[in-house]
Amino acid sequence: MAEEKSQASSSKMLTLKASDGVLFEVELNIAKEMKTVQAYIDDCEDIETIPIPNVLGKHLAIVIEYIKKTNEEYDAEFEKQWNMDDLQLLLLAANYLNISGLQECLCKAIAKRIENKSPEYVRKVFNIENDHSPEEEAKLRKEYKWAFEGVDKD
Amino acid sequence: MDDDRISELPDDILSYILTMLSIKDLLKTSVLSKRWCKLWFLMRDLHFDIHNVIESEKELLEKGHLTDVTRYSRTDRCVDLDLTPKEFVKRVDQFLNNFHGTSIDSFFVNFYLDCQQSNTIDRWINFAMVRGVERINLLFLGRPYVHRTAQNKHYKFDSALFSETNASTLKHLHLEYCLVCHPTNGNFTLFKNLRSLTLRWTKLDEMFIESLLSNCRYLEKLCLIFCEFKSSMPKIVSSSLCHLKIFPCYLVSKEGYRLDVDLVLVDCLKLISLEYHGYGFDTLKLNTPVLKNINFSVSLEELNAFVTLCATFPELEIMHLDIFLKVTTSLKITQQLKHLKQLNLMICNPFILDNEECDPLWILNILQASPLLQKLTIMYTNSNFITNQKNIRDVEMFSHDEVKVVELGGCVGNWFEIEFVMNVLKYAHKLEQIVVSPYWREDEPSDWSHDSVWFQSGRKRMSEKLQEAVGLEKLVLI
Repeated sequence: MAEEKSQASSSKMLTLKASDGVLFEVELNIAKEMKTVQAYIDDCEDIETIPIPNVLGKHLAIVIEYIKKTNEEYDAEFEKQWNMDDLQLLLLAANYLNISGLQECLCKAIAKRIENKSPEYVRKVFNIENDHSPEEEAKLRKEYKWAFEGVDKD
Repeated sequence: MDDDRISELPDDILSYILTMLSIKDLLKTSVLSKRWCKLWFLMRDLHFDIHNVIESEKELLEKGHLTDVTRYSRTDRCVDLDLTPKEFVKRVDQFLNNFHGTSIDSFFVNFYLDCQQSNTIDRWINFAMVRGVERINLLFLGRPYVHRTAQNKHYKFDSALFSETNASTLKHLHLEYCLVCHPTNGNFTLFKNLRSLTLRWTKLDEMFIESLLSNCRYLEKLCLIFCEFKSSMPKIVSSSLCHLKIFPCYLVSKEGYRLDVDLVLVDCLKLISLEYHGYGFDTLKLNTPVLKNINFSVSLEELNAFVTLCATFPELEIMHLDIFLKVTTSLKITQQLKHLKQLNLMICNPFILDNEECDPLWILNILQASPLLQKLTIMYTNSNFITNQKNIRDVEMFSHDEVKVVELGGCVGNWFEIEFVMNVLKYAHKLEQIVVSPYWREDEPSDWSHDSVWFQSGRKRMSEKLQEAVGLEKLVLI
């Protein structure tokens, strides 16, 4: 009896609703990789549609695909397809949904892309407003002079 | 849609990304904005090595700071003498001086440092302790790179320097190429909460270990690897220790010679795993009633005594043996290993002369003595192909009802390998698979080797001789 029940629940389908209304039907064991969704299920057992208000349909699709396919090879190629904006939005999605493997993969990818780049480049990437005064910035640059040597051209 | 675009990630995600950057990139981020200036204070793991402080391996090789040097058929990747510790220390200091985080979990340094940087290293340890650090690694050999220099004295680790408060958060300590002295204030507060201690290429007095063991009520793991003691191996007596690993330790005689120091006593009621590579088996006393996993180096003459000793451990499940094979005689195993589930044998350098008497079926004797064994792995290291191949015998008296998986490594196609395989196929009734491969390696980090004679003729020879064998479908020849 117990065996039958667990078999049924492993093929049970769940619907995830993205912020732009796009619906995704996923198997329970895939959805469980998202710890946020798991917590939702633990709270309300009979739920069939779970709203994911912070994630766009296009990103949720990518996240679900990642969970299904993740392995060393897939991860290595995965990050190469996305631009910086998408990487950040995917990272926010992975963080909200609490998927540790995907978070790690994306953080590594972002770190790799800002490796040895100039601060101007990094500011553009993360859309950071420079609120240092010119004197403050000059002081920091002087103090860590060696760190600013040999930086990649933008 | 553009309105929804989120331009900045939250603090904790950004600081996690920062942990993946080199020190150089990290310091540059302080220029990005006021917020970024403080983000790296959220880092909890401060790890410093040649790559994240100086340069990547690729850049080091390009600039010639790293070169491959081959001596006596062994290639080491050496670090250039010009790359002095000064720059490394300067950069780490700069980082630490500007780091305003108040709490960290781990502090690791992997670089060749010694007594010349004593004051700096003391400061770094203090920095970490004050921030509640739990894990400290001070690896001053700079592995995996080799640094050839005039042998300066080791950095001296004196725990008394860091015992300002009566509390200690330190749980895991790993030291390499240090000198550990008895705390000058005689108090072991720093080590009070220690769970694991690993000392490698470290010089110390054995009294320190013995005092430590009686002062650390929570110590679970102890590793002493190639350490230099004063006059003997410490007696390992502990009511909390679960894992013990000892690699050949030594002392230095008055004349300057290195002499082996043997393990004599292990009295640990909670010990689950024991790994010892050294001598003195005949004088070793073990009181380890719950031992599950044992890994030893023995000579074939000691094997029966070793098995007899192991039979006294009622919970023993996994045995790993490095055996130095000289000449074999018929070996009778007198005791049974009642609970043994897995046996890994590494047969080291079995250089057998063509006309030497050799009866490797002693392995089947061990198998016979382990009725519940599930998995057997045998690896021959540096085997040679004998020209005078003997006939293959059918043992008949052998039978095993449990073993499911057998793996042979380092094979060259010798008669005794074939004989062993044939008998196992015939008499191991529950066997699911036997894998025969030419590949072998001594330990984890080494590369796999093999003798080409396997692919030239050995494999074919084995395949032919076993054509008529019973249970052939279970055989996998690599």
